[in-house]
Amino acid sequence: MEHADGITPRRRRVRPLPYVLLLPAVAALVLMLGYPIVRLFTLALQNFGLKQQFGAAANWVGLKNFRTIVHDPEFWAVLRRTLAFCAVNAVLTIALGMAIALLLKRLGSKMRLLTMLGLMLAWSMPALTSTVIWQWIFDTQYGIANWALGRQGQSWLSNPLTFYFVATIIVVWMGIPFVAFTLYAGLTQIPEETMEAAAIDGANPWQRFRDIVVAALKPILLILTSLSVLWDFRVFTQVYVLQRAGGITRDTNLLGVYAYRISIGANHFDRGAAVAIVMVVITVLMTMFYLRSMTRQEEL
Amino acid sequence: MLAAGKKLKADNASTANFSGMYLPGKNWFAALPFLWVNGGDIAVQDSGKWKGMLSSDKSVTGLTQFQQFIEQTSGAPKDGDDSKDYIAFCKGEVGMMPAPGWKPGQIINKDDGCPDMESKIGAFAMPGLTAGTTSPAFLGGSNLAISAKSKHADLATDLLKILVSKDYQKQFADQGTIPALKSLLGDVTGSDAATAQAKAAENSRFVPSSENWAAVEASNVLPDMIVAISGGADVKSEAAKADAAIEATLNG
Repeated sequence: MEHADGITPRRRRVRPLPYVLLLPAVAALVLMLGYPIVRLFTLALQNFGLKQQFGAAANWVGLKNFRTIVHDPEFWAVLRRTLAFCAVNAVLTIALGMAIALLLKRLGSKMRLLTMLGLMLAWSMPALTSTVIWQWIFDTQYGIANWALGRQGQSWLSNPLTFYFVATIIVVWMGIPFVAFTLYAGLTQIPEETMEAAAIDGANPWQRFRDIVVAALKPILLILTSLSVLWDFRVFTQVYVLQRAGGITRDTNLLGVYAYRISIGANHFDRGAAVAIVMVVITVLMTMFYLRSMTRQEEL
Repeated sequence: MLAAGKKLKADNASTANFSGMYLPGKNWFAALPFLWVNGGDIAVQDSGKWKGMLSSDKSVTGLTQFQQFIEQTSGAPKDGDDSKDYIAFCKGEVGMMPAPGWKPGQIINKDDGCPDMESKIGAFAMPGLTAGTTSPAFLGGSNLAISAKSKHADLATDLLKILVSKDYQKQFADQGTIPALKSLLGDVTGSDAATAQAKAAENSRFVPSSENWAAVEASNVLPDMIVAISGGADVKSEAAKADAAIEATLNG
């Protein structure tokens, strides 16, 4: 064990105070995260429906719930859909965030302030509020999108493809500010001289962007991409609200909403927990990638 | 009624999105009377197992009529629900719409309604297939029960008796709301909408009585089906798809 403080010369004496101070945080974590996770795993291994919710005994069924979901073609359809949605959204968020960060770099100070303010507002908006507003924009009858496009009565949400188009706009729109701010902060750290020297040596803008900007920001980009993937994988509010507003539920479920509908909606708490665990496992795998890029960055 | 809806739509052809009968795609409650009046149903229980009836011939007849109404008279969004119907009504885009008895109150609300419409709203119970009859209406959603672990089950039973007593329910009828006793429906007084609602309630039905029914509603099978039918999909195959999903849920 290492004592980094160097104040107490006496070695091997465990002082209790730091551990006592850690206790509240650990207790809160166990209570807030530990209990639900344990409950989730027990639910997934039990037979737990409406009757059990009302007090009937729940018996252990092993991996039966997992077998049920992997044999359900709908589960695989939902999983494929979720991964595709997540990939498209993460790529778009990073690409557009990068573009806005570059724009911020070139803008004059007044316009920059204005743009940042706009980004800030988009960022601080709760997901539910912004989804409802975007849904009004795309409303079939009274939406401003149909009015501007001159396509009265065009139903955006009843076709799954256009449904995801609207959902993607909302998710990306909310994801961009964080990415843009972080990348802009990174951009300001790239020395002007490097860029100038490269320009003098004859590197065109694209080469300068690829070999200097992207190379310098690579650690930040990696972390931002991992975070975006994580966030877009577990998107819930946007899809749920749009489904209520007009989407065909069967064709537009993503994993998070799907798990919710099975457990809270249909009272199959056991199967819903199994789906949630699959989600947790995928998330953990992604997080490991994120943590690895974090630690690698520290080594640099 | 289809003819009336079509005439309303034709007479108001200059109003964009005008509905002779306002039927948004997600309002599956509105489809139920069409189903029932033709002898169809959502699902029936046969020796302990539920069987989906939406794709039965009688149900398909009802759903096809509903599709005709949507195609020929409705200007409502095919993927919308009935939460904005009063706004469309206030904009003068609606001739008729299926609605519960409290709807006029929402239409004339001061915040986003149109109080000046009050005198122009009429109501009628949805007619049946022959003159003088009404279509079965959807009625329900409220339950009275005593908790199994209640500490004072006797007192709770007494209260329940008071709640369903004639004197108590009469007060609901006097205020124009639907009493829980069928015998008091004739005593309902008040607005057009209140008496029309009472008349409709005399012939009313409910969704399949199964502990798993809530799961059917939560999965949105029925709105999905009606939205598809509104979009012009084949009634029989959409109904068969919904039947399969409903059977799996009710028996699951």
